[in-house]
Amino acid sequence: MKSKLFVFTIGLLLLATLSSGCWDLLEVDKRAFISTLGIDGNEEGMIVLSAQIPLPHKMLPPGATSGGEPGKQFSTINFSAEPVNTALNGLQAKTYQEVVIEQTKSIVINEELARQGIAQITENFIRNPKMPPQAVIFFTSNHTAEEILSFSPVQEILPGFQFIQAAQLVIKGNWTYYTPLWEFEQKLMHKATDPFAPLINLDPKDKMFVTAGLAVFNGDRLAGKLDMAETQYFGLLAGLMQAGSLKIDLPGNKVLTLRNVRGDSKIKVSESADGAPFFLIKTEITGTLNEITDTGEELTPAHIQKLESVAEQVLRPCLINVIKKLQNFNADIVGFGDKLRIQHQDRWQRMEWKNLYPTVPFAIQVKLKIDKDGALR
Amino acid sequence: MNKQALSPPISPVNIFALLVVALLGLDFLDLPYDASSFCGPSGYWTIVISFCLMVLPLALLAVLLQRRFPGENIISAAKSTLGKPLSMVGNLLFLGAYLTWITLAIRDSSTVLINYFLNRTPVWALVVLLLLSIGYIIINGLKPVLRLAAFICLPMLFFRFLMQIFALQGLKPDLLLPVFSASPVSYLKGALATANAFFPLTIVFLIYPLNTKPQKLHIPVLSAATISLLSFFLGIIGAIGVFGAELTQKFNWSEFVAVQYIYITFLVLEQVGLLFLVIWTSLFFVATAFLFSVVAKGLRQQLPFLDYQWTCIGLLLLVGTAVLLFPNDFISRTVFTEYRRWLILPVTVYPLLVYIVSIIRGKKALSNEE
Amino acid sequence: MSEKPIPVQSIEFRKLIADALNNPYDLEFESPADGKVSIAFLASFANKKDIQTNFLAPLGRLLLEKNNYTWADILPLISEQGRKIRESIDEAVNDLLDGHTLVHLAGKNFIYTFNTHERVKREPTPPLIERTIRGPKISLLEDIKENIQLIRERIKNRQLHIDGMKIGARSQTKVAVIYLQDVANPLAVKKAHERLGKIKIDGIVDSGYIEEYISDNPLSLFPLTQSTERPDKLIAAVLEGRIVILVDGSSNGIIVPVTVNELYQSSEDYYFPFWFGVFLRVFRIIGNIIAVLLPGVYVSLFAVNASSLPIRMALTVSGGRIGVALPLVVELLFMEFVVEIFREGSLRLPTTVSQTIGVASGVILGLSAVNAGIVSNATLVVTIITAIASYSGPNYEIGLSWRILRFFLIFMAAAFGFYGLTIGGLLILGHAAIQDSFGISFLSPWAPILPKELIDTVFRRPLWMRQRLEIYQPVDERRAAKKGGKKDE
Repeated sequence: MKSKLFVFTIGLLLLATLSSGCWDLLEVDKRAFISTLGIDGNEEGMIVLSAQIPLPHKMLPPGATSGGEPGKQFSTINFSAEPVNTALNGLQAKTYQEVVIEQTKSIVINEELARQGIAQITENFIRNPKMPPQAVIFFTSNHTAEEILSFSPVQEILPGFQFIQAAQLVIKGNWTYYTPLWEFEQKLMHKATDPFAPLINLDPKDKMFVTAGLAVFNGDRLAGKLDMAETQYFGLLAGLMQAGSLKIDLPGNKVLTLRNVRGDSKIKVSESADGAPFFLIKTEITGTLNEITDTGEELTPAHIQKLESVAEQVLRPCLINVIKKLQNFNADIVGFGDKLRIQHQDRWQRMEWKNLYPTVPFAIQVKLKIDKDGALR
Repeated sequence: MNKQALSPPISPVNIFALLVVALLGLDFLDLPYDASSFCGPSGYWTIVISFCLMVLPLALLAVLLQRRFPGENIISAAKSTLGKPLSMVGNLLFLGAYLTWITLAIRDSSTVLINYFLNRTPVWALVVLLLLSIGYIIINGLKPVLRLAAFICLPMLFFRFLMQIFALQGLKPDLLLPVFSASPVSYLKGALATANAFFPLTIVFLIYPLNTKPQKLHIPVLSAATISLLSFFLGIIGAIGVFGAELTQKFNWSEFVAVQYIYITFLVLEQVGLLFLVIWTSLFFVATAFLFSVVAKGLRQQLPFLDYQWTCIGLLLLVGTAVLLFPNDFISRTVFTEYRRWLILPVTVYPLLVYIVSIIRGKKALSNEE
Repeated sequence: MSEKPIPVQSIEFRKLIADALNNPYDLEFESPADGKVSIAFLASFANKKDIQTNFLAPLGRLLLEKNNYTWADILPLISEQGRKIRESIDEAVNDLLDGHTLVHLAGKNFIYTFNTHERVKREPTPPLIERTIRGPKISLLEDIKENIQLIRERIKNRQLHIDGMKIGARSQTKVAVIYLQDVANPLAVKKAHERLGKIKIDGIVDSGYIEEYISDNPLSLFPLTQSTERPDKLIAAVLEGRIVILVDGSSNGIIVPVTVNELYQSSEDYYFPFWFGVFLRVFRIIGNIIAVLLPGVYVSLFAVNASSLPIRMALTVSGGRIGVALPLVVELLFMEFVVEIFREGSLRLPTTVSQTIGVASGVILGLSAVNAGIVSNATLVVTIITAIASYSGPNYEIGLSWRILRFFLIFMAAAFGFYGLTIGGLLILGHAAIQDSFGISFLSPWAPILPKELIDTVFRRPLWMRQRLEIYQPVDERRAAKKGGKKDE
């Protein structure tokens, strides 16, 4: 009998709790989902935060042949304030729905702002529990973030979503390497590496986005950029390229292209004569033969071996140039510092890596393997 | 309250289920923080070391105590060994340690829930909901808790491991190297800090008389601890290997973020965090109910004039009030981080003390009460 | 009624009988020839033609041939089987109410009675609710004797015990408890008898009354006894060591004890080959889980924890809700109520119009409601899937449980999102964990864990591996031959 009384009382109290208010009940049509965030700086030193918000009433329902409205299927709003979260709150004033950050797919940051340092911005985002950590970060080169957000490319309805889809596709890892927010922050905090992120540009002639090249960082400041070719070589060095393509200009106006290219490097750190660390990099590249300037010969193993060694001679200086460029930027995105930390932990703790990195000596060995030959002999 | 519901016989398989649920449910999600703050990238060793330092001796102690005091748990063993006044103080401290842990855990879990899932819901609503729901289960004795734990044990174990393996999606082995990045002293300190993960294992001192096969006590205890060790280890590797030691220490709840970031196309959900919430909530709920029930039973054993059901109600009110006393998250978080590492002491040292004193005094168990 | 002796005079006999029953319309008296022999029967019960042909006609001839006749002359006309001698009015009236015919000879203070009961018979029909693709297509009938016959036909074993009793002060309903003596747990049998013996009620109309009395917790949301209209289920239960209770006048039998596992097992799991049985069982369980969880998940994903939604789905549903007047939770509850009303209404629709109205209400009303902006498409889809999925379990009562619990989960999801849904689910599980059925945990073999029995939950044991479930603590565990062997007898 007592149990029943307790149960009844408990039930009543539970009912009272439930009916006192559904504090977090906010229907999906009352939320304005931000699909992309754009961050610029203005002359007053404030952050201009732009948000791309899809408009459900303009979208064509799946399977429908009519309905929906012509024109852009998203709107862009912005607000200026300092710091980022204040600007985020300020966006609330510009819509009739509640602006929510929980479905943000990408963040576009202005290059100029990035050069001044973005540690504060990324930390603000990571601190917000609602921000999805897998939102990808981009940096713009010739346009402001707001322009990027306002642009409606011809084939894509909701660009913000397409970016994250692209980030999942292995083949895209040829022109650029996507960095989600959590990874960017992880690299920032981890003193042995520097972060990088893709560059995004507009091509008004073709009415498209172009995502190619990398923005490389020294700490939290943008230090420089790598173009498409350099990005490919970086991918080979860092082991990020998994299904890329490579074009190698052989001597004698011949061209060799490979597809399904995978590359990885083993970096060994040793001590040179003067006690400074010396990096020996062994890069292994594997690929499938895609195109070779017609020699009329059948491709025998000996022939392929010769091709490989010639191509290695061509590739090696390209890789060296990329590393040197990164040293000039003082941006250790390949991970030399990390290897030093792992292999010589005691030296790492005593060393000031940022001072040493730009001049640290290295040597590189390249090994190319063409393992498949496609449909022709 | 009939005896069968309050003290049901528990087979070794069901003891295993109870211990696994208790260990994983009260795994305070801060394990990667503890591990990496003392030992950096190779913090995953700390949990292994603390398993060797804590679990093996604990299992041995439980077996020895059971042999020395067959059919009696630590409460009655202490009474017959230390005498009534000392044992009263000791037993109340022992039970109080569990209550303190529950209070801190409920507050921390509410904070984390509000941060990530329910931003505007006030703390009191979550706490009242949780405690009332626990009250409904425990008011009918230990039997429903036992059954609930047995029911959820296998599926939750399966999904938890699945989540933790998926969380290794973005693992970078370099972040876990070098394999021995800290000094032996740091590893020891780290092991002592992470030992609080095995705190729920000490519940076995209160429930081993209910075991239907006393000669097999060590099997469920060791297997539950081993499976939990695997899960803790994976959790630490998942957090440090993905986020690195530095970022792991910044997160409030790194094990959750380690699941939140993953992307699984076929799962339909944008973020897997909700599934993790279900798994963690279920384990936490049942583990807390179990602890409450056992503590209420122990209190009743120590103070026979108490009635089990009223004791449960009283404990729920006490814990609820204590939880809501914390004025803000910073205080509760600091208190939780500091004190939970020390709570392991009373619950391990006290049974050891009882055993040693019983050997010195040469006293054996009196007749069975339970 | 008093213990009055049978009067010797015919007129007084007839008066006493008529008074005892308050002169009912269906009480008839026959008195052939000289009126010394009086025959009484209830025309609603008795097979009048049978009485006429087999008794009255020969009796008439006898009375014409002999002048001084005695019981010795009349008795050969009454079959010895079922013939009883009665000396009090009480006993006579009880026999009359049981469908017997009374024969009184003037001058004697005792009567003979014999059984002329003809029941209203129904031809066996296929089961209404527990339909299967494979297996016997027959359901139980209202006559307890015919139901017992259905069981006896299939279990021809001496150890089959059929204990009869009468329950109900006014209805005197016959109840039979059936079990295998050398298999069923004796404690469970004793419990069943005790609980049945304790029932104090005026009348039993259906087996549901008995279920409520013998259930461990009649207020529980889960059925703690299993009721079925299929005789093959009863037979399987008896062979497993469980106890079957049959009630006269009810076409449902009761099986005790029950666990949640049994409520998801259908007979055809065992009639189909092994993997098909597993497949069917898995989908049944998934169906019921969807039935209880889908509305709650819908509310928590689309109204509270929208961060986990695939964004396109969020936008599509958001677009679909433009112009909808009601908030999401209210809309969902409204549709759930409408579906429940339709469910009840459709049971009582005349068959001639049920199809037309079914199509009209289901299809046209649904579309019109969306166009009118009362509900959105997504809510309609969720409600319909839930409604159909709730019938995926083979046991009707567990489906009813989920129908009720669904509403609780909707409230929990609206208040606390996915966390509330989880806590709600745990509360429901906890409620199930508290229940026992005749001393056995309702959640067996999941809780407490009985490792050997777990295989028979989602999977089903191949027939050659069959053992009686340890849960029911049978006396004899072995059913078939050892693994891989041939059947032994």
